[in-house]
Amino acid sequence: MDFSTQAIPRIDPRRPWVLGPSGLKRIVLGDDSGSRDAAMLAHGPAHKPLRSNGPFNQRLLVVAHAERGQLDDAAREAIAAAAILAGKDGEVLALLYGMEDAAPEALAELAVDRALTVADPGYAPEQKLALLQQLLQQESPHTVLFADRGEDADLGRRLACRARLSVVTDVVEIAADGVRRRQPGAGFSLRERAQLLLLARGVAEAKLPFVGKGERLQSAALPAVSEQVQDLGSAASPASELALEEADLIVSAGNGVSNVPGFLALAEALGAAVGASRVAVDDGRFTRDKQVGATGKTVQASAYIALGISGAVQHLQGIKSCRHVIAVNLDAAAPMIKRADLSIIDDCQSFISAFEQLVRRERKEKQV
Amino acid sequence: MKIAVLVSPAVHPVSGRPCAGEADLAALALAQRLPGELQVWYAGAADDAALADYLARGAGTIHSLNLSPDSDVLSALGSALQGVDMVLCGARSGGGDGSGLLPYQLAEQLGAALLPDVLDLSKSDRQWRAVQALPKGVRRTLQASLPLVASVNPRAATAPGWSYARLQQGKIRRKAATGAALAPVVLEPSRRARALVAASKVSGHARMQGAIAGGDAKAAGVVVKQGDSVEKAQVVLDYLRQHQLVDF
Ligand SMILES: Cc1cc2nc3c(=O)[nH]c(=O)nc-3n(C[C@H](O)[C@H](O)[C@H](O)COP(=O)(O)OP(=O)(O)OC[C@H]3O[C@@H](n4cnc5c(N)ncnc54)[C@H](O)[C@@H]3O)c2cc1C
Repeated sequence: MDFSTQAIPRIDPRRPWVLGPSGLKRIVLGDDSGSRDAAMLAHGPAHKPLRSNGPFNQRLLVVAHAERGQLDDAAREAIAAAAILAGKDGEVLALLYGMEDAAPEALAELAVDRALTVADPGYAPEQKLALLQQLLQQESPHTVLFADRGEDADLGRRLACRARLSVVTDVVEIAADGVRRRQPGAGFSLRERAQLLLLARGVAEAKLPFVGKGERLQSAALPAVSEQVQDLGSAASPASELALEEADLIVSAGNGVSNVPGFLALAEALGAAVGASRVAVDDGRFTRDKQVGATGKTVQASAYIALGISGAVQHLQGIKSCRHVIAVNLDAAAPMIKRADLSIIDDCQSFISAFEQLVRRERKEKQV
Repeated sequence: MKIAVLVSPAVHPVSGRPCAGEADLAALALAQRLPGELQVWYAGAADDAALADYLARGAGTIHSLNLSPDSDVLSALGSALQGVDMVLCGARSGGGDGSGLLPYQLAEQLGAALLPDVLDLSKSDRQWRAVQALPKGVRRTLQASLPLVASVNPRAATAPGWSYARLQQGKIRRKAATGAALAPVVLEPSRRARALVAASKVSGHARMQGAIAGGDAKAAGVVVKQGDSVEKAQVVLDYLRQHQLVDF
């Protein structure tokens, strides 16, 4: 049979396409303008549409403190919640402390429409309150959102009491019929949506399919108001004295660490808290209160250095919220390597002594 | 100096029965270390059994403002605490709402300085110094003059152990009080909370990409195999410095 003589209707799999305003690939039949580049769709940076182009006639305010110039997951979720609640005519306004250097694209990526960035003055609740009250008057947002942790939780409670806003704390769910919070010993309690909401973790999915406008207001200075309470400065307490759950930097030893005194010397040189895997604890190398993981402690350190730990799921559960994980292991296929942001394939013992010497030398140079 | 400690029963996490709250006990123990006339206050609808733990752990006499269960404790406490120099309470109650709002509201109402999440209090000259617990082990020292309201971190101090003799000697002085009615709340059984998720219209292709590595998922980490231990140690230190995780 001769195939070439038959007119087989064929569809060109590489028909030109254009990207529609909603981010969907559109094929206009018979049109040969547009892109034929299949690779661009597959590997190009994800194109996210704008959430809403306005005009806005109402707004939500999100207040957040950044740490080292970055917002943590709780703050991102608060902004995401605002963006989801805002609707077509609602604007997401953000007051961000400590993000003066953020680029407009970064703000847009966070789904912020308009941001007021202020250098973080440290402890200054009265000044921050005065600025917030100014902002409430100028912008009259219908809802103010804070993440219910750390500085944000403190400022949110202060604002609610000072400005006499109705408030619900520890909000775990925002629904059409109101907001739900966890009630000690009694499951959920359902309340009316208040003017000020303090959001617990997990209230919104931080990953958003859209971006905000990312405009930046003139950086504002804090109003000069005198503080009732004086700040005499703060200090990080020595990591070795800290509860593991509170530590910011942890070095943790697993079965691969045999030289425990050397390991402890490294922890001391680095000023880090000591953790351990269950195997190392069961062996008697460390006490039970050092165990990290499902049956041990859940830690929130910014940096977690795992030495000779394979990374069993039970262990990884305990370090879910660590921002930076560094792994040292002989086995490049260990699950910990997949979790880690930086992995060193090396023998623990020689690494520990080399790292300890390096840290001590660098510390000394810094002091001189 | 007049010191008032506020206590309220917590819900025991396992049995669900009322018991003493960790943070309130810490406030009580911290207050007992301070010089001054100490009074222990409670406002609400709890019965004697619910407050017994505090008596057994050294509260002595508890002044209770009897309110109906659905009324606000703030105004009753506010008027009872007029003229008190220092109010201490747990950073968060383990019962009731457990919202941690009361110290903020009280400070506002009494016009007092607020010291949240305090680990230690000490006198310096005519002012008071408080060590405040911040996340990640940071300690901040704050200084304020009286009157002040401090909410106390559960780790601040340990109350004496449970004693039957103290329970028998302890007294609860009850006084009727009134408060504004609270907005009604509907209690529901616990379940998994539903997160807000943005409705998204993305192509199947993009969804598949999101399901594997693509999208804005975390990029895979760097793996360093080359070099000797000294070079690798330098790599780790550079990483820590680059992300400002060490201060040297
Ligand atoms: C119900 C249950 C609960 C558990 N809870 C926990 C928990 O809370 N916390 C916890 O940690 N575990 C927990 N576990 C145990 C967990 O499953 C693992 O067994 C354990 O975490 C493994 O510890 P490890 O990585 O130190 O040891 P191993 O699995 O023995 O791994 C040692 C690693 O070190 C590497 N290594 C060996 N020698 C060297 C060297 N010289 N230099 C460099 N690397 C080297 C190896 O390649 C290996 O990857 C639990 C288990 C169960 C069943």
